[in-house]
Amino acid sequence: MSRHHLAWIWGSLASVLLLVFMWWNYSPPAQFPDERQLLREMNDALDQYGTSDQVAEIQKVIHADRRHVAVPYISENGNYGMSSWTWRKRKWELTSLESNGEPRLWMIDRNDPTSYFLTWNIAPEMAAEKLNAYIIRRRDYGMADGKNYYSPRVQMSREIVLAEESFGATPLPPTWLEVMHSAMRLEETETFSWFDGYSTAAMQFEFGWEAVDGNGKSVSQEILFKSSQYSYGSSDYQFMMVIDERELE
Amino acid sequence: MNEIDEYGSFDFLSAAATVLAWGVIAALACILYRRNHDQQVGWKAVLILVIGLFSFSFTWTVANTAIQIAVLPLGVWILYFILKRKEGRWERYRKYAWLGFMANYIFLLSVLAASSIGHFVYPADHAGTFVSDVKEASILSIHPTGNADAALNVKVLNSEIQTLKQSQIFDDSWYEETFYQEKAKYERFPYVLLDAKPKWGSGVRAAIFVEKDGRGLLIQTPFESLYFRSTQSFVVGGDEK
Repeated sequence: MSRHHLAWIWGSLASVLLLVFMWWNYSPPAQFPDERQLLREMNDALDQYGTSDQVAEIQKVIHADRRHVAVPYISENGNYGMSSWTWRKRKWELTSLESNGEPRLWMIDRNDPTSYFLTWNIAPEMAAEKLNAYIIRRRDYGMADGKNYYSPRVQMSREIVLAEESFGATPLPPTWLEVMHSAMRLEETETFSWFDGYSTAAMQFEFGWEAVDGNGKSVSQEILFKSSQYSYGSSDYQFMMVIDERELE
Repeated sequence: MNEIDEYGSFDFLSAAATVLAWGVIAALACILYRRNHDQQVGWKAVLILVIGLFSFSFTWTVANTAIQIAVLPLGVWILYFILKRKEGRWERYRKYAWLGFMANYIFLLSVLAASSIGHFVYPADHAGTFVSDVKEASILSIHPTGNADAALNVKVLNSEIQTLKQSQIFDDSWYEETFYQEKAKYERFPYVLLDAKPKWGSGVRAAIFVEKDGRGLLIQTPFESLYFRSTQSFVVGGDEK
């Protein structure tokens, strides 16, 4: 075989591989499965996980972005849970299933706060009226390299009225993103685009929540949520701490 | 990170110095090439030069500028071991390899020159370096101490920028006050300044906070915190004192 032929064969082989790779990773996701199929997949996962609980009702299908979907549900044991789905390896994969709808931060891409979602699912018969979500960065001051520094405290909140939305998955408010971006801008951009490390500026921010009843009194976590029965999958979620009012300013 | 590129202004002096440094290196390479025209090294000289650049170097930060000092000519050594195998080859390419190593020092000079000019053109003790164009700027309350309805008075800020006075950040009195403030749940800088552009070509990145009384700017750069005071408030509707 001539040299010319060989080059041609290798070239076409490489481009076919490239095409398959592109199709595998970047082709647009298929339509999200219907409720029947969701129920089947979730219950299969629960069986595998060895719990006796079964999903009874799907509350809503919330598209976070083209490849990520949150599905809050109610189970036969009366759990208000949250599941998340990701388009991965050419199929919609159930990436997490939590029996307990406690507020959590879903970080689709840790380095990009615009991909963070607040998720929650609270039983409507509970006494809580409002859910306050918080973003907090502690005040920091001192001396470094012989110079004084000061970093203001950040404390912003978003109120969720539970009568209107007892469950949901919502992106961070634009004002929170502005503050996070202004902190991230100070980072050495080179270091965190090269490695897939976390942005340390984004990690300085803490996320918390507090539930309040009709009289503005705080409702404790134990009353609001059953202890978690099962928690399946994904590390994209971060628990949000429960805020004690005394910690707030 | 799009958000960061968008805000990070273009570092004109560094870019100009880098272009100039490459120009000097190219000129030196041309001179060498012309003087040794009979040696027929061709385009490979460019490759040798680039490999020659490779070195073991020390990096440290002086006056907020990262400085790299090349110590061991690793690229030159590698080239020596590869090229010496053929009689006379190393002798032909040697000057280009060493020019590559020397280029490290040309870059060092260019960084030093850009940095020292930068200290005059973009002084770090001047608020105007970090907050230059405020036409599209706004403030956002980031703490309950701030008033959600407070707005930036762009006109006042614009006229005050050039005369803002640098003040001592966090002296003893401030330190005590902060302890007191933590109990009082009070934040001295409850607003963040958004969309203020730094001086053109400075390449500085900063997070900027506005004081409760509307007269102070806290500017955080990757290296330090700076504090500036003005004679009049540039915040309206913030119940300023």
